[in-house]
Amino acid sequence: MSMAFAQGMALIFFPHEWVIPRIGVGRQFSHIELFGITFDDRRKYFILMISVFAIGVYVLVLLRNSRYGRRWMAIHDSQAAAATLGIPIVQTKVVVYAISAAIAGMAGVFWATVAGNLSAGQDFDLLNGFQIVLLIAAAGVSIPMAGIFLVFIPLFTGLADRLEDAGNVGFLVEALEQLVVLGPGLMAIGMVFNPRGAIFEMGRGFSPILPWRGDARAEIAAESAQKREPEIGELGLERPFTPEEVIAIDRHLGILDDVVPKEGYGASRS
Amino acid sequence: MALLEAEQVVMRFGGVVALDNTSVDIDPGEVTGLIGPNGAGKTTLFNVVTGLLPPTSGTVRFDGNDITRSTVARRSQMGIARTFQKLEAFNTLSALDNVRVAVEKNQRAKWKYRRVNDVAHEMLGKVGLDDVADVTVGTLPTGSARLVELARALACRPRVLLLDEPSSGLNEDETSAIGQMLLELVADKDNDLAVLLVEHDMSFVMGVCARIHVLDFGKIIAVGTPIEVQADTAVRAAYLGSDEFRGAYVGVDE
Repeated sequence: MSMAFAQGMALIFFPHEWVIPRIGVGRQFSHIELFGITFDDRRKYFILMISVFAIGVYVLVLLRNSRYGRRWMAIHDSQAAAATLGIPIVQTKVVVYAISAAIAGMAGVFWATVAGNLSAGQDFDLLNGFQIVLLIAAAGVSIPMAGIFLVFIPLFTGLADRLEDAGNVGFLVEALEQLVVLGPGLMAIGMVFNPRGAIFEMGRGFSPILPWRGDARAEIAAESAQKREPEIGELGLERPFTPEEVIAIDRHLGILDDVVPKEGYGASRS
Repeated sequence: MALLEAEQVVMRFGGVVALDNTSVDIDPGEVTGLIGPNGAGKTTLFNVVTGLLPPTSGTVRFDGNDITRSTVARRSQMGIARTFQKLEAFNTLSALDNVRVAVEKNQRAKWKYRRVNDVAHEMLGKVGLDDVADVTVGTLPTGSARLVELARALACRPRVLLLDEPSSGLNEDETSAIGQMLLELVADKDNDLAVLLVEHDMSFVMGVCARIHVLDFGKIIAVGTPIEVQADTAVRAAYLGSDEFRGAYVGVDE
């Protein structure tokens, strides 16, 4: 929906000079200046980006663990239930969209200042950001740290450039360039199997050594406990009862524990 | 005067009349049952009472005030809480956070974080889930997630609690514990609580409800005590052939 809206804006508004002067033909942007430092080379700019990203993630994590963040997640999971708890849905959504737009706007400022020149007709093409959208989706749309996955784009393209300079490794360059395009698509397919996103699954995997992931450890413990419980769904229909399952059913039905199960009970019904 | 009243409520979906001049009233200090065959309009009535559906006509009153056009959030602030037939827990949040959302939104004063936490733990404890407080609800079994929903509704400190098939997914012991808890909650005068219970487990309904409304094809066909409802010929006709009701006959000659 957001992409459709963006495309609509690009078609309807951006071609008109009166909306944003000179945006259609390209507009010049000067470098960022903060605390007397001009961020005019790649190294300085990289440090600035990392700092802004780190602060942004920290603020978002704080926000998410706050009462407002919980409300946002509640609305994300069930609008009906959130509304019946007294959460004003429309107001909350407007705030979320405003914050999202502010973050996107800030990203746009950084992009404009590093590019130096932006043209609505070329730089805001829908497919330009497609890799980014796919990467974020694969990493987990509801997880602030998902933004860290975007590092793959400059990493692979940078590596491809270096290899190209080294020469005689054309196939590797080609493979890396293809990976930049195909990688996000493959990861998006992976989402079918891990809909909560790669960052979430990685967090779960590393939870034993991450002190703040008590929730993931509790979740894993609950899942293991559930797996240990005998399944009684298809008993006797697709496979014979085992003695352990007979005991489990007897206990469930309140039959005395001293009933001795026989080997292969129920096998004749399977 | 009844705490919550739905008067002559009509709810149409195109040509389908889901509620046909339906009137229901519930009093504080008791559990009121709302039963009926599948598709009778029970959940639709819940949605109308909580404001998720605007009725085609009719009135909903809470504590004597007309709330027919009030927003869902406003009704919640007034003290109407509910659970859902189709599970509507916040799956990406932990069980504790599910309840915290409700506590934070409905706290009577500016509680400190610790107080909110304590109340949320207390509510989870009431439904026997404090040991899975940190587990993400999406990974809990359906029965446990349903109990989280119940704890969340209780955390709203409701004056009217609407429960839509709370025993679904629970075993017999858990259902019995929920029934006992509901009876204790309504018996406590400080709570001033009224409960409206939609349920297919007839032994559960007959065991906890003081009065029962029977809905069939959107119309109320009987109101009375469990014994009166079980003896009602219209109710018997509506449930004819339905095992769920036949099994609930207690002390009534068939």
